[in-house]
Amino acid sequence: MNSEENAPYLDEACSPTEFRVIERFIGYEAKLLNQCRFKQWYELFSEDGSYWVPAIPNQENPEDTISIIYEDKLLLAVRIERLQQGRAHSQTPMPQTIRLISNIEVVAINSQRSEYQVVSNFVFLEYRDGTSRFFGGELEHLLREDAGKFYIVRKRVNLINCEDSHEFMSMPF
Amino acid sequence: MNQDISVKDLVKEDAVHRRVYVDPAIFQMEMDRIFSKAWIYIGHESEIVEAGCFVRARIGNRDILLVRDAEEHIRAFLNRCPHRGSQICRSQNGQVKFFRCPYHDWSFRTDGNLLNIPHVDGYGPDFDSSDPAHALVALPRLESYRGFIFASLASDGPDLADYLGPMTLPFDNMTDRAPLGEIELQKNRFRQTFKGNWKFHMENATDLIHPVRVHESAIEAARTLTGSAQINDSDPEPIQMMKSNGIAFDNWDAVGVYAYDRGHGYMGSFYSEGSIASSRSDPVFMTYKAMLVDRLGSERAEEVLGISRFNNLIYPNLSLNANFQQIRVIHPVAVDRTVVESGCFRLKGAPEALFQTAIRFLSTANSPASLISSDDLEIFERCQIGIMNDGTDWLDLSRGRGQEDSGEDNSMLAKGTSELTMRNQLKAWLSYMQDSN
Repeated sequence: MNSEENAPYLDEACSPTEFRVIERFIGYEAKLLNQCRFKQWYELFSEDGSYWVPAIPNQENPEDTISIIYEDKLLLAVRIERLQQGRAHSQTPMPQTIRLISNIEVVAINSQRSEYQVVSNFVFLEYRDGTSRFFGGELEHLLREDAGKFYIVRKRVNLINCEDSHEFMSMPF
Repeated sequence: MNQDISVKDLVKEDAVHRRVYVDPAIFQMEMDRIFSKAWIYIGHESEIVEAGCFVRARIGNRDILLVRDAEEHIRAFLNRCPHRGSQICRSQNGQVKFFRCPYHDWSFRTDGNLLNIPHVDGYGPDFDSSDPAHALVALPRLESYRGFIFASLASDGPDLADYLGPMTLPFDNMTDRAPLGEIELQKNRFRQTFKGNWKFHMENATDLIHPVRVHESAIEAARTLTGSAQINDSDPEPIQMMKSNGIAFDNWDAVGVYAYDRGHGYMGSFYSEGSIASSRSDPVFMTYKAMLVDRLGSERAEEVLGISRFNNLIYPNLSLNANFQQIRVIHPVAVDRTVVESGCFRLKGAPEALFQTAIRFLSTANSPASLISSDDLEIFERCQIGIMNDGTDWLDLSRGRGQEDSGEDNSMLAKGTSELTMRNQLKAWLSYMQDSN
């Protein structure tokens, strides 16, 4: 984001109706995770969907640089399966989490008006067995509309402290 | 230092006292008697290729600057100003012409010597700017083996090659695997923190009875999603890694564990199936192998690629995996807090796909969000909590005791599920801790 950029909150290319639908979708996704409805969250991803939490700020490539998480739909399914089966020690007890998302901005729409690139800011609070912690950063969503439904084609989570030393992270952001 | 501690009473042949993991006075003794004496890995030459390049490093709680000076000599200093003690450098790495303290602007050449003090007249006519007391504090000893740089805070002791003994092998093997004969440490690393004692991590690294249970959730999820317990070439590498933890105890036994003098040791490889096995023969690997044969000849290339080990432990706090070019350093922070730093190397000249496998291995095994190591770290934290209970003092390490065999180079070897390597680490621990010089 450069300083010469005009700062329209609502992109003129995005109609108020489109914006409202996208905003509700992002909120719905967060609600599913807040409520540990992992399977339903997973089903929001398109078949070619991916979930990426870079380990480096402004990371360009997930293949030649380490990532905190870089998963296609199959690997994401393993992550979700593990969360659900109740045998993961690091998720016992399961953390309670809440996500606050704001500053939602639709930064690009394709010409067919079927794909939307959305950027937002988030705060993530987690409580588990006597310990509370928080994360924050920027979310980048590439959303695709197909037959009246929205799908996540790409979700990228840019943690402000991605490079730091971390205790283990159990929950999707 | 607490003089009342009689460390010899804390380690038996087959058990260890819980104080070894929970007593802050013991931790301070470890810093003084182990981390201030042993050779500690602090970096790789490929991180500081040009004059003025530096990286931050740690020895226990000491903050170190590892530098290639203007004459291209490798130097290591405490990251503090000799004047009032301010940390000189906050960046993790970089390239400089000189170091400058942000407090009173003292500056230092990359060889550590004082460059300038502003308004130096204030010290009077007798001030000697070449007095070593005004230079950055250099670590007493610094040596490299195959590009791996170690430092010792003790001015006397065995040289590095002696110290490593037969454990020079993994350094050789990782480097020899590069078609151009050189490896390059990647700048980006993971650092995982856990609320537990550093020794839990080192002991667990060759504990082969734990994976089946501790990593059960990842094993089961990987099996469920691929519909098979079988490890297939077509499974993504992270899934093959998860499934491999689920092999039978007989197979873990066959992996074997090996113990050497000074607390070093290693385990064999347990990746015996799929595209992550040492015996892989896919097109990428065959292209790579041909490159290695070009440089080393067929016999030597086979020998290099035939060495199949998983974790190679250099006591007290380094773990190497040559097969996947992985490095892991266990940094003690406090008696109940540890930071694990892990990275990987690029084999110079090898196909990019091989490097990407190393990246995937590192992310799968050592990311803070790893489906594998998260459960290890959780267990270390539970151990730390559990042994705060003082009802019973001894932790058992007797598995496989008396069933070891003697091997080459004064080594001991045992079935994979033996606790031989933990006993060996604690033997070295006791030897350091009893030496008060």
